Amino acid sequence: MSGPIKVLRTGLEAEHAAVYVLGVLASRTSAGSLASALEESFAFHRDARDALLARLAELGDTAPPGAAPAYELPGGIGTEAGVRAAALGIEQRATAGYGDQVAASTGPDRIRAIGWLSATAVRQLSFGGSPIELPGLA
Amino acid sequence: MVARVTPPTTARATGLSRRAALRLSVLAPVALAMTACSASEGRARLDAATDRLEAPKSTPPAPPNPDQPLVDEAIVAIDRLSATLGTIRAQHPPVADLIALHQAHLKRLGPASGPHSDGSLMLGGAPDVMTAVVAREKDLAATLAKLAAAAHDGDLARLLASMSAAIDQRVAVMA
Repeated sequence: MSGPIKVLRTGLEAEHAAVYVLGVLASRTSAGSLASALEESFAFHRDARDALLARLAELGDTAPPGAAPAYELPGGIGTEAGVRAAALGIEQRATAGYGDQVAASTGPDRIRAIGWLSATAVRQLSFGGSPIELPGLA
Repeated sequence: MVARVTPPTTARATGLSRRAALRLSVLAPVALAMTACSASEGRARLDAATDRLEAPKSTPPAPPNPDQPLVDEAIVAIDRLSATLGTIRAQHPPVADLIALHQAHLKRLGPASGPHSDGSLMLGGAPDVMTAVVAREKDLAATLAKLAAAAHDGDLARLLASMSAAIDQRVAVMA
């Protein structure tokens, strides 16, 4: 398996998990700013998943990893604070994962990952995150 | 039945095996020749042999880093904006956080390969200075993202992309 395919597959697995967990978090959240942020995050990661699937197909990967039937849910999501913390964790892990994609890719794949890294770093703020020196690296 | 008895050899008679005796016969002339050489000649040959085994006295220069021009460009861009923010820091305390961020990023990048001008940027005639600051920060984030895309080294690309994202976070907070 080539390096780019390997890192994209890892990214795809993370997106499957993010889409699942964010869907659960959104279903447990009533309307409001948190619900809107979850909806936006869910849509972003769903689109990222689809983009990675398409890219892997372009690269000739005929058996990309599929979604698991279920993923382990983070603890403490019975409260709004818990949901916020869980969503922040997803975005922080995604930011680090996109950093890995930046490092391991070139050309359009890298440009896409740079954009995703920035988008998830900013979205961390809507889940209670604070600006840091090096998102995805710190 | 008559048992065969190997006739005794001179070597065996002196307590040496045949192999040892053979070694002696081969090495003896060499030893004699060596003892015939003067001590200084032997040392000279030893030194010459040692010299051949030693590493060259001077190592060739390291190949140039293909990313250095790109790193220099990032340093100049960050340094200029940081210097610009420094001129309005007293009137606009919130920029202190941006200056601290830029200085931390400069530290990560290390020194530039050569001197560069320390000129600062114009913040333009924007009625609200902070609006102009946000615009300059966005420009810097875009520059760092562009450099990340062009970097040869993956780790450097990740670092520059992360710096760009850090600025985007600050801009989002300021908006």
